Amino acid sequence: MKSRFLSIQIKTFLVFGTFIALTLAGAGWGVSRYFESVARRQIERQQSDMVSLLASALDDKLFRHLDTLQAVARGIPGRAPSDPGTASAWLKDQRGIRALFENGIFLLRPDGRLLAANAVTPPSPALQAELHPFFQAVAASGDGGISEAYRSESSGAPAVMMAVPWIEQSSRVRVLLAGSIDLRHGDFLGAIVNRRMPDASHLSLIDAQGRILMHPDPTRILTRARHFEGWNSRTGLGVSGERRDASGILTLTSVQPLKAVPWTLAAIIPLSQAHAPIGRFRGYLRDATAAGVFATLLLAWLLSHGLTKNLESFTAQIEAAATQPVGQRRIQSRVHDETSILVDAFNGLMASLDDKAARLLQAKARQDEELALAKHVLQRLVEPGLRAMPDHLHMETLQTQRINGDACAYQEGLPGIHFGLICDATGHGLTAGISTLPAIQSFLGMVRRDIPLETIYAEINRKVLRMMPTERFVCLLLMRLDTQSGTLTVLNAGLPDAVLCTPQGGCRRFTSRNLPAGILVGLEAPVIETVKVAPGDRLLAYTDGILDLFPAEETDQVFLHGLERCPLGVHLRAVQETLSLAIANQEQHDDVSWALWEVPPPACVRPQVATSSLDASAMLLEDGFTLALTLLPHRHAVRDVLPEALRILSSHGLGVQAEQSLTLALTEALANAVDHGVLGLDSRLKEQGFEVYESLRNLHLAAIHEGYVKLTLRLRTLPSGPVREVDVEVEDSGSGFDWRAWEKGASDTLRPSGRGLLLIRALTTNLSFNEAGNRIRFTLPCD
Amino acid sequence: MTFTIQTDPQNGILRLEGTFTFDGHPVFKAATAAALEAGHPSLVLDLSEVSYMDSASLGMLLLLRERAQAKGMQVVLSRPSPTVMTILRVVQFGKLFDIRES
Repeated sequence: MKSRFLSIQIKTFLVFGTFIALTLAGAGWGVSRYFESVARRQIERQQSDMVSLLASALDDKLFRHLDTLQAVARGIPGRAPSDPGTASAWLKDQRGIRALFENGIFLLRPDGRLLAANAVTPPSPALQAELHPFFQAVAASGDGGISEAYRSESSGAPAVMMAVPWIEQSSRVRVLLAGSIDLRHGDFLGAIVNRRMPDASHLSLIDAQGRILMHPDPTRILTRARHFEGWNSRTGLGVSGERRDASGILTLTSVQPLKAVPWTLAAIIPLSQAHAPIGRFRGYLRDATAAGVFATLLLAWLLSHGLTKNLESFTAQIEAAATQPVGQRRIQSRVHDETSILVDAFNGLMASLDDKAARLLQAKARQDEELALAKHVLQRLVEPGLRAMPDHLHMETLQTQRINGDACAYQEGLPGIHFGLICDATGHGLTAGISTLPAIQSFLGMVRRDIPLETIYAEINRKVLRMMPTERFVCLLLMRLDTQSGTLTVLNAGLPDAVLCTPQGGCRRFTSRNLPAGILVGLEAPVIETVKVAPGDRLLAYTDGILDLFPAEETDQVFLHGLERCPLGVHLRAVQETLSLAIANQEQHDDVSWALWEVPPPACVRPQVATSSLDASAMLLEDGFTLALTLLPHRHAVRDVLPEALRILSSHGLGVQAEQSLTLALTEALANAVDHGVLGLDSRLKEQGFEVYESLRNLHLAAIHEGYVKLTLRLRTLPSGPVREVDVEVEDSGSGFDWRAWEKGASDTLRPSGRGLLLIRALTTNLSFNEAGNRIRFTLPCD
Repeated sequence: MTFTIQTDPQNGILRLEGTFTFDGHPVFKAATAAALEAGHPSLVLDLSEVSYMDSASLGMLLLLRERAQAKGMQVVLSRPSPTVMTILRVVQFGKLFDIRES
């Protein structure tokens, strides 16, 4: 997990480190810039001061020489020598002055002509001519002066001539005393030129005409120095600044004009050399900044670790806790700060979660147990019937992991009459399972007596309404297949269309036209559809869970088309495989219950109970025969006795209409004998629900060891003609009932019991009871 | 798929969206309780965006109908989607509710 993001320590370090590093770098840069600026100014000032000092020293020397000349000229008593011989001798005596002026000393007439010379080389006429204007100017001004520089004829070095007038007491200029200075001499420029300067640096002296008087390169002496033109004349003061020299090199140049002469002293230093200290300072500062940044980052890392170690520990413990089993997901804090609050909060949450998890597990276990119980109850209810289902009928429920309210049930009623129920209760889980119970119990309890579907539907509706809350209801589909009469009856209340297909491709749909059970108290007469069916016809019905898997419009195509001509086994496997595949490929939200029934050929009717199992006797009479059956307690099921009696009567030519009437009448009479006579059940128990009544009936049957029901059928031909009748007598071992009270209230259609007797009276004649009320007799026409 | 309800309390209309199953029970209960308190003559459930309903949701409709009737209100199921209309038709809810297909 850590690899996917930066840890909080790294983030803290990066934030603080970056901030501090940038701050230090910025501070370093600022300090560097400030000190560079200061250093530049300082270096410039130092160079300027140096040039100014050198210029001042040069001025001092020039003025001192000039003042010496003037002092000599003014301090000589007497007249000035006016002839060459006297002048020459005088000059020779002036050894002190001669030592100052290396090129020589001179006396000149006021008009500037040479009078005498004490020089290494007497000035040539050309030099005299060059200097003549200078001498004239000195004579005219009456004050000393310094000439323009010229090339010494003796040394070739630059030289200047100084001249002062020798003024007598009469204020008349008699002669000019002059001296020539070799500027290259050590007292003058030699000392400056030899001054130690950095490499590629030099001092330079330029006169007013821009000629170089001093330069490290002798070849440049008295040549033009163009790039210095105008410097001194521009300001008259010392100037320093950066400029490019003739070679294009950036230099720090300081110039200082002299006072004694219109010359300019310049110091030229390449900027790289001038600013070398700045470069060194910058290097030191960079190193110091780098060291500071490194030290700061190290400090930031240690600081961030100190700040975040508790949080890191908290995070690591949480990660580790995620892998711990429930109940052990706890973490610890060794310090008391904000993380300890987080730790306490986490542990509190975990404790709460653990508690909830434990409760959930318990609830899940209880739910599983309840579901298992509900499944068990449902299975116990429906499995016996489903197991007894003949091969031509198939019903099943494919449940999801939980119960979603689907169930199906099967029960054979009278022989050859099959009842089926598919139901889908509202909701999920145990409540849905509970909702189906009243429907299934009512169904199983009622179909054994061949009660009409509308009555079963009404009973289920009543029961669900009474037991379940408003939002709980049951969609259902009731089927009754009578293989004897070849009829199929369907009641659809809230389920998808059931479809009846014939082998010839005919199709009949049974659409839901009734409300699901458990919604309305006062149901209107249900819509029930009864159709004639033939062997090979197939009925497919299913709950809406199948619509989760297939669109409604595709179900016919998937489950019917082309399959109705296949053998039933093939058809069944095709449906099962299709459903299995669909369920495996997608999430199944709802249960799926489905039924596929094929109308069997008549031969497929379930084998009847063997006569030998009954205590029966038959006796042929002149006008017919008498059949007497005695039902022992373990044979008290009406459904086992009735078909046997009917079979025997049918073999003696019982008509169809008579068989139907006799079936109904005998069913009611035998049921009364068994239920109320032998078992002693009260009809009013039915008001609590048919399933309750049925359960009690089964309990009593299982417990009883004594009692009997005698059924006597007497088929006779009437004396008046070929018409035959059946006399029926049913006697039970019970204590009888108050038949007189029943006869008094027989007209009350709302009475809670006695409807069976009303049915018998409607279908038969000569209805009578014995005094005790444990025997009933009636007669039916045979044809 | 989620189930949501947008309410239009001024007109007493609830617009349901998504798969309406038992899981939508808390949302449905809260929304309809507020709508019932509003006291409109009729409570309209717009089902045009409901893709599927299960039996539990049908039960919720029945419960809503009962509560609405107790307050003298009528529940109208409006513009059900084709799938939902098929389900409503199968369970014959047309006998219980005013279903308006358009």
